[in-house]
Amino acid sequence: MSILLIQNLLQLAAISLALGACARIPVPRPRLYRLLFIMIVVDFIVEVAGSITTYFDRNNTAMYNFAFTTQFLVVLLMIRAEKPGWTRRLAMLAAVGLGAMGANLWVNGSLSFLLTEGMLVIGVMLSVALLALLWDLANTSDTPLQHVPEFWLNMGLLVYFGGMAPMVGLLRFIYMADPQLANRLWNILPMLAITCYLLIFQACRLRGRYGYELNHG
Amino acid sequence: MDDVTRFTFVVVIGTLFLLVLVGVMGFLMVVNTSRRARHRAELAEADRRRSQEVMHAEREAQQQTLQEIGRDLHDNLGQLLTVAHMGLDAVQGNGNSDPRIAQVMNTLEVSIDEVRRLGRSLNSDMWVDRSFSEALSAEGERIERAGLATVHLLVEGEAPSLSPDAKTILFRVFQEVLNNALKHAAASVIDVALRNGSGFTLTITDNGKGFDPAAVDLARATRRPSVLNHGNGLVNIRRRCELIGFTAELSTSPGKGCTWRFSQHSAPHAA
Repeated sequence: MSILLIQNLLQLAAISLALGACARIPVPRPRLYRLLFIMIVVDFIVEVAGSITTYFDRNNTAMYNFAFTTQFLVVLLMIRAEKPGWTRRLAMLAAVGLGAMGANLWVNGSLSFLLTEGMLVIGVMLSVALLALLWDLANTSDTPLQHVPEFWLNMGLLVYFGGMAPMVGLLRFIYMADPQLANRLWNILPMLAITCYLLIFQACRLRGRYGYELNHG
Repeated sequence: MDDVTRFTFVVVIGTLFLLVLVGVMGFLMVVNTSRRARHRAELAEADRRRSQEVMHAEREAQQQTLQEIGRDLHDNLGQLLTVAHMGLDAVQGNGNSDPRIAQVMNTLEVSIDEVRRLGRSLNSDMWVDRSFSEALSAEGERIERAGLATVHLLVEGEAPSLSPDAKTILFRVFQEVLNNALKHAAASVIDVALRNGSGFTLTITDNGKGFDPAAVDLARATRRPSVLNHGNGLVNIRRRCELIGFTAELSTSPGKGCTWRFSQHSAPHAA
């Protein structure tokens, strides 16, 4: 069994865990968790499709480019659900992120390549937004953070997007010097996704347990 | 770069990610913990201020009532006694030499003085014309005059620079401690020491029967009614002292009397 396959299986298992925990949150779910559910479902479909296309040696970068852009927009909507007062700033981030992806696509001229520069810009912007959100949470929560579902959720997203930014930014240069090392480093990204989904699983588990009782505002 | 080096590089990068993640989590948790601690302290401070305000309002209402009683005593009862004294004086002036009249007149004079003294002590401006030590002395004399106990007062140092409210609270606490010594401990000698050197302290020692503070705490915990009031009294004394920036320390044991020590631990709050 190859490392790639093991990683794929682990990633799908982590996504399934998070999906199951999210589905168990009592309805009516808060808007944040409805959006999260959509994001996890999209990710699950993309990863399954990605595994199949990789197995049949088909180019799936276009799908990943679209999936990443969708993820970016859903995460912005999730942040807005937590902080409605940030709508204007989030709209600006969305515009800049979509602009960066568009510009990258224009430069590349095709969706067959991963839009790494656009992903780098989005990764940095989302990391800043998520860090600001976590900082705000730490400074306003009356409940210890380890009991706040949104803390684990935002930490998970920060791990993924925050980890992705330096990886995507550096890989191009590393690839020029040592393609084999770049390939190995690329394997860290699925590990970041697995960590992200395990943290999201914890968030959904806590939200399912506390329901609406928890007040961390 | 060989394969082992590449592998090591990836592991190092992965570990760095993990460390950053744990670091960010830990940092945020520390920030949150300190914020909650600060919030709790602010709530406690707000609670203390509210208690002070409530106490201030209660005291104002109480002072007003006492003032009215004092005025009524002076204006009504005092006047009536004076009129009675004048009447008896007139009877005596008409040649009636019954010795009982002189006796009654003496008693009336004492009563008039007592009513005046009582009226003055109920007045809220009691600190205008007397110092804290004078008030303690007057209270001691009153107890001795009533034949309840012997009170020794020792004053060392300058008069304490306390606000009128702080003086009133401390004086009421002093009265409560004396009352407890007479009522509950059946004390016959009470030593009062007022010292104002490096810090202001008031010490009250009695030779009463004392008690076991641990038993009072236990009774409070188990809400045993027989001891509960006594326990509440002790807590109230401490709470009131805390509000004016004083620490109240009690040392007692069964059969060994009781010593209260009130010391100023900070500048008195604006009570």
